Amino acid sequence: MRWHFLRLALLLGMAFASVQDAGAQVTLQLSVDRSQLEVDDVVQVTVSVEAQQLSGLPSPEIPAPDGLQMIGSTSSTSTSISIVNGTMTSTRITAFVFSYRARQEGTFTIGPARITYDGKTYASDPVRIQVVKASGQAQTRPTPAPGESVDASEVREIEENLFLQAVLDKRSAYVGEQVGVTYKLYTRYNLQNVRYGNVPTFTGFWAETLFDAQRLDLKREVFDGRAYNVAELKRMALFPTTAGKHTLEQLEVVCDVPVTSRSRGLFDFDPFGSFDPFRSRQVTVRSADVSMTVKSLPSGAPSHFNGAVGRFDIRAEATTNTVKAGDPISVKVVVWGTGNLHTVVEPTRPDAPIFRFYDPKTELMTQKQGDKFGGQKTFEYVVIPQKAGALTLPPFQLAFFDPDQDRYQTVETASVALQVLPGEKAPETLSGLNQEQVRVLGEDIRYIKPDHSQLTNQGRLLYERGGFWVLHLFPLMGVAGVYVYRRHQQRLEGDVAYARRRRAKSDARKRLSEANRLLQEVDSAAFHAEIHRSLAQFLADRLNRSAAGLTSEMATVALSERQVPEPVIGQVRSIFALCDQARFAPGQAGREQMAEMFEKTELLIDELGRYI
Amino acid sequence: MIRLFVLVFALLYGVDVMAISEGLVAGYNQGNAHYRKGEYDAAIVAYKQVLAQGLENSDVFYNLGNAYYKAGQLGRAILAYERALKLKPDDEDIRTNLRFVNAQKLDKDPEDDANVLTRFLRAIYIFFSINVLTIVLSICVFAGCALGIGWVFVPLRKWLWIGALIVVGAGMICSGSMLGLKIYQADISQAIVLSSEVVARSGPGEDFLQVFTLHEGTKVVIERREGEWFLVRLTSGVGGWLRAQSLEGI
Repeated sequence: MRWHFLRLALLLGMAFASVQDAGAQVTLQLSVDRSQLEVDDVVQVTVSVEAQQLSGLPSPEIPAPDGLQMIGSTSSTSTSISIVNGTMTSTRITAFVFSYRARQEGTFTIGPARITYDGKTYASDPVRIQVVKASGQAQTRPTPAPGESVDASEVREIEENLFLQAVLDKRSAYVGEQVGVTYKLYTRYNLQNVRYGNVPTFTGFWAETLFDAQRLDLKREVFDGRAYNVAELKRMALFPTTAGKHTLEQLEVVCDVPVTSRSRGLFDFDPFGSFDPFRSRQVTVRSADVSMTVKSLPSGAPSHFNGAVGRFDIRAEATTNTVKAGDPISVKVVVWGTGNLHTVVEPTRPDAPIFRFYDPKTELMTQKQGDKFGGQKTFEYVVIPQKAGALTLPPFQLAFFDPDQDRYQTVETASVALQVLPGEKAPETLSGLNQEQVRVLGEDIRYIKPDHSQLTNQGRLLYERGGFWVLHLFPLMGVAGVYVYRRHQQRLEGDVAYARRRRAKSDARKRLSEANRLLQEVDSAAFHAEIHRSLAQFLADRLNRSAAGLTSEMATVALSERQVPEPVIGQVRSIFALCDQARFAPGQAGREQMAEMFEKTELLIDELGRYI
Repeated sequence: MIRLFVLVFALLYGVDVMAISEGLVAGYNQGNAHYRKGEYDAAIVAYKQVLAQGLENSDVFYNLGNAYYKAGQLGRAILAYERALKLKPDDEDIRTNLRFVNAQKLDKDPEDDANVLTRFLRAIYIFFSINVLTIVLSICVFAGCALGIGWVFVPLRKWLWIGALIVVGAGMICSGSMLGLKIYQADISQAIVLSSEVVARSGPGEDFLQVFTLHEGTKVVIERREGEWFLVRLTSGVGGWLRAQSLEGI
């Protein structure tokens, strides 16, 4: 209502003040186009100077009030002729127009305007204006070019043909509920150079931009009975964070509006006016403040409600359905829908102690198409089954408040069936109880050793006993014996002389026993032949010679060389001689002689064995 | 013949089959009975009587150490554990209790900064006792002789015999050198400080300068003896003279 009054005042309200100077016929009038305005509004102050002779009139002086900034001035002159009682009076009126922009709130006094003419000073009455705080009303304010003024009619014209609207899709919402706001620019001009001035920060809201125009995409739309070109500038999804009354700040757009010059007066002809396609005026367009009421969420929230507001659904999927106990699997829980997914926290995990859950990795994919903000949020869990078997991962739950239906809802995933094979390593817990480190209550020495039925004396060391080391002589002796035997075998195989030598005695024994048999038969010739052969063969074997050609003389020489004592050699010679005698000089030797011969030979061979 | 050989072998090889008198075993079990009842002083007396008769057994020393610890005699407990450990270096109970009791004595042991390899070798070294090493060496000798005899009679490839001989020879060298080292180390006389606090001096007499103080339970190496005084060296290398009655050799 208040605004309508203001508009009325703007249209009708003119304050007049006049000073009549009868003598000089100069009248000063100070007027403003409105007496009440808002911060950043422009007020036009007009000083009309009325006189009969006005050549060389100076510009009037107006004390510049603080809080008002002069942004331009212009002047125009008109002449009026009146005939009163046959007398024609010609009056010239010069209008000086000053434009001021209000910079701050308060009541300001403009004027009095003074003019010094012809040695006299004329003054007008002052005018008071009131500047109030910006109302939040939608505004379109042209900014006059320097040295130029913008009059109210032009402002009105621009206001009618260019404005910005903020449209909320609801005026009342719950905390966290999604509210859409769309900023639309209505114009009947061919706008140029459109850009944002002041962009709201949306204090008290979580804001997500759904659409942000990169260029004007104009569509025709009828508004209030008039056709406009309409461009959507911005579309936001807002989520109130606190309850109470919230007001959205204004969006400000600055653009250039092409203007057509108009003649300023009958006698103020501008030969180059009218058509100037390059002239434009900078206009600031602001949307109106919009406010909304935010309600707290109703009571009766489920215990696992964590502040999610909107409309959501949930599903769970496991990367694999077959796993070994103790090995991890990845379970993705996806929450999707419309609402502020940024504030949607982890769904309630199922209460299943046979599964171990690790904190999830969160991934958010937002969707900004359309009027609603939404998307999907993925919670990726690492889950380790603690037991083998056919297990079921119970549902994850998400509680949220659905503002459309005005109630709390809970959605849950389907259960996930898992085939858990026995693990390689034993699961840490079979019972599903949480294990903890065994707590040490106190420390003490280990307990004593038990009773014994026998004690050994460990102080007696094995290596200190002689007998122990004596024992090792046996194997060493064994090895030595084996190697001696081995060497002997090898000589028998490779050394003929050695072999003959080693065999000589046993061969001689065999022959002697044969001789002994012949002795029993008293076969003298054969006996002596055998005695001779056994001795000769023994000597040949030992001396490594041929037995066939071994004569008594040769044997004597060879034995002498071997340092065999002379008596032994003599015995050899004697036996050889006796044998030859018995063999070649027939005549039976007696049995006793033969026995004596046998014994002597036997002893001789033994004795010879010692020397050769 | 074979039976005789086995008997001789057993006797000489010396699993100590010599009977420990029944009285000693009874004394040990008696000490255990006292210990179980919490009569630690009586247990100490019983164990000491067993040991006084010349029996050296790690279990007796270990139980004596436990009784000393319970009776509050830290130094003597450490001494008993050290003696037990010398007889049975691979016994986990003895090692644990010695470590536990050592942590309670006043003098701090030097830090053990050995690396993994050193610790591994040390663990092997500790694991084999002198007797075990002696037996291993003996087995190697027998095996080597058996191989030497086998080589003559059994027709196998030459390199098989050589390989086996190398293995046995390596075993002989390892066990022999470890045995030598152990016997050498066993000769080093170590002692435990039994007085609650004792001052070491720079020479054998009360007039010499005080060089450091030792507390009950600290292990030292005895280097020399002169009259009533011992020259001891700490693990850190510092040496000093102590009165003989404040120490007891392990």
